Amino acid sequence: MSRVAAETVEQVRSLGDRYKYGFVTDIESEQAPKGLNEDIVRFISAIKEEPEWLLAWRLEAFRHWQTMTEPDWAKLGIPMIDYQDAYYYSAPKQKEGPKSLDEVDPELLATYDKLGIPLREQEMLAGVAVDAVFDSVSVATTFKAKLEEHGVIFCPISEAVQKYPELVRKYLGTVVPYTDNFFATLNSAVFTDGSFVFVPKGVRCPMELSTYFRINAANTGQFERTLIVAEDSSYVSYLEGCTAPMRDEHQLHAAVVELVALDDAEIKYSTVQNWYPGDENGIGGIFNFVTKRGACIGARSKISWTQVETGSAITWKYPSCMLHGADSVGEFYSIAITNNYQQADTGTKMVHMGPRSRSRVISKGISAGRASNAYRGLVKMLPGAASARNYTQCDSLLIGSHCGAHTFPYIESQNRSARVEHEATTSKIDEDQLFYCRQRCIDEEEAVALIVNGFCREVLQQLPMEFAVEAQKLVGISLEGSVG
Amino acid sequence: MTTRVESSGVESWREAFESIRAALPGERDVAFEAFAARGFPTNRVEAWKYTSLRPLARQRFRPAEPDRDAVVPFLNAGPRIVLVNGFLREDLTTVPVGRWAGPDNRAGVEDEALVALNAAMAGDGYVLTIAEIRDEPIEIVHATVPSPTGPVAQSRNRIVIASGGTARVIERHIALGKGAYFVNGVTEVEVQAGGQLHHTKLQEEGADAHHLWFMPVQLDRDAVLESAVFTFGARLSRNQIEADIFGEGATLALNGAYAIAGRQLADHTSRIEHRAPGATSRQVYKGAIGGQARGVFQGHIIVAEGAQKTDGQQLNRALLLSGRAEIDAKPVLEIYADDVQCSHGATAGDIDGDALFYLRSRGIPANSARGLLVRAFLSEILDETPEDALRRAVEDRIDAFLEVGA
Repeated sequence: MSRVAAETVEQVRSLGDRYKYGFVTDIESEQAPKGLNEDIVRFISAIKEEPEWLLAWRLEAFRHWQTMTEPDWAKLGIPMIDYQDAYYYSAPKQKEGPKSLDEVDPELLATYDKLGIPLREQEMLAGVAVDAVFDSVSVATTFKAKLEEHGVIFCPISEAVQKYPELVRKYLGTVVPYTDNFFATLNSAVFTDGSFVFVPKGVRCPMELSTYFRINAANTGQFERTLIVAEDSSYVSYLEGCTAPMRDEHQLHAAVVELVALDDAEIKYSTVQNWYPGDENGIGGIFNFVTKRGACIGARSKISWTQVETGSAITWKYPSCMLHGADSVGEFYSIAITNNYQQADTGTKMVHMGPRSRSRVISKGISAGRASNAYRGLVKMLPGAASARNYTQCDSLLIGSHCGAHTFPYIESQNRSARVEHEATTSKIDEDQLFYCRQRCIDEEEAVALIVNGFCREVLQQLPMEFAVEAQKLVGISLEGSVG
Repeated sequence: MTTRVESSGVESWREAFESIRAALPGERDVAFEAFAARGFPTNRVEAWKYTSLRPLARQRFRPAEPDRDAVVPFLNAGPRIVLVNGFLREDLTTVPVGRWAGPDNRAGVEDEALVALNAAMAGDGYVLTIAEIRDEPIEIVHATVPSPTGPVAQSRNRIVIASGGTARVIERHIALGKGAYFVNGVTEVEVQAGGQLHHTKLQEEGADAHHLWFMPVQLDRDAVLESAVFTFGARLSRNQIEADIFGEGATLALNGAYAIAGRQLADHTSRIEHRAPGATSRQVYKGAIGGQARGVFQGHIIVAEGAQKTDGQQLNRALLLSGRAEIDAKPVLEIYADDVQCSHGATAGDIDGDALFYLRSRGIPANSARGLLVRAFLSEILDETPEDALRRAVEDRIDAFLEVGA
């Protein structure tokens, strides 16, 4: 632990005031005109050579979106967003699609190197397949052959629409319908890319699947759409990590992730979100409005969300589980760190429908500077959820006297045999712990990183190895400048 | 957020307001317009998410009139204040009290539609000021006489504990007869520096009653308020407490126990705002819910910037005793200061199977065992209550509940 903390502090120092991933790759983008109308929706659909049903679905979503207003119930101050003042399609220019990594634009590869995603190295050493999404188009996918051997489909969703239309059509929008909420509806109309994963019956996916999302071209909103289907008795672990370059103008991100778990299937979805949070005066930063939801359709199915949210100026995100199946399990492990003027309103919904369904929610919110950090969660036991069980624990840590930490849990039980337990605490870093560290010559910033890492341990433990290390460092980096 | 205005409901209320407007002391139009602009809250309003007043808006109520003959039963032989239909019965009141004389724009409580309605239409109310140490509990009875016209009783009351004062107050809400009626009352509480108020509310309204009661609280330096509410009656009830802690070192304890069955809805909503450092707040609410009844708990703790060393704890527990009972809980923490200890906990579920088995294995029949456990569950709140007569009254209500609800 102390070694990691020392590394963290070293990293903090080396960073100075600069955001680590604040660089811009100079690649010519192919862009649709600014603004949003039916023509843009048609343009996106046409350029992706989509079937008629998908265009129709997009248009229905777009028409519905025009009747909606932005949600205002979250504890967030969201500046007016001009949806007409953004590009809805931008793709890195490529003459032909790359057949292997060698054909990929070297500048693009260099960007990934800076981000710490050495594709080739990963291919050889780490055993992680990366479906790297650059702006809106997936440019490289590795380990396809190995996955195909096992019958696992892992590809950009636009490719899946072409190759496996019946699968996409069967599941797309079944967990998050296009009418769901303002941002999900917008996404349904204009989503450009994302990942599609299909794990067939009885298959345990042989490797961790990972995707890195990047926002690159200025003023390009990213509208990713990810769909993961795990058939009976299958297992898949999916990793999502995010960084974005430094920009002064706000950038909008409205992603949708849908998970479907059938009988005895298990999906583990892990996220490290480290988009540009804006500078220390609250200028710039990403607006992150994400709809993530999993449906435990099958008996004994399990969906587990783990997230480390350190970036973005505004985070609006509630990864949820619809527990339809008997004995199904939903989990939500979350660390949300806000510093400076960052705002986060994040949490989960656990909706229990199946008998004996179980859910566990562990949320750790850390607020520093002038930031606002809110947990918002719903646990609902429907009449059918006999003997269902929920345990929720939300802990908030405040660093400094100008930040806010809030908890908004909603607990609704309509079943006598269901048991719901909720606990929440708010506290600051214990003076005694801090003193103990300083007594041992650990300086204050390092001590805070150490203590905060301890505070988050329950969640960090849930992350796959390669993420856990990165996340631990992030925890320290995100709190830079919050003490002293 | 949109506030739906049930215009038809508002219009019938305007009629009712006009009919008594001339007889009311003070300026009322502003308050009524504040109500009319909002209308009855529906569950589209966040603070009323789980308790919709739409059915209430559709009903017609007539302002209740003073009843000088009704016989009112008492708990104790001690000092008392008696209101019937929202009007003070001086002949039965044995404590010197002042009378409410119309809106005085205290604290912006008229933000709530129902409080605005009360400010517009309340015809009477007591003002109790205590500056000395009083050991003997003061019994305050709010009685309503139901009638086919659907009377609405609205009183506006005020308890002030001056510096150095200490008092015990028991507020009872009862029906004198059977039938529908609507109670929309306010008791303002102010505890000045070093004062202490021990307040108990026993809500035993009639089965067809609607009971909405709002209690704004202000606590000054080192003030103490302990308030417990026992909710048994009314078809729909909401006990709403909004406490502002202005003084350093103040102590606030809000407790509640409720037992509801049939189609009852009992809503306990509290907002505690710590505006001064070093204050303590404690809340424990426990409910037993049978039949198709619904319990609602909304607890909100706010710690303002600068309110360091705040200690705020909150607990909500609900027992669901039937297959169609429901609990909705929303315990909110809103914290703007770092050196604080705040927590909340909430649980919902059936009686513990192991405890039940333990009792049954010792030859106690299932029904008695359940009763024993429910009584034990609720009596934690009762344990804080020193008055014997009150204890007996609450225990009787729990027994009655166990016969029908559990």
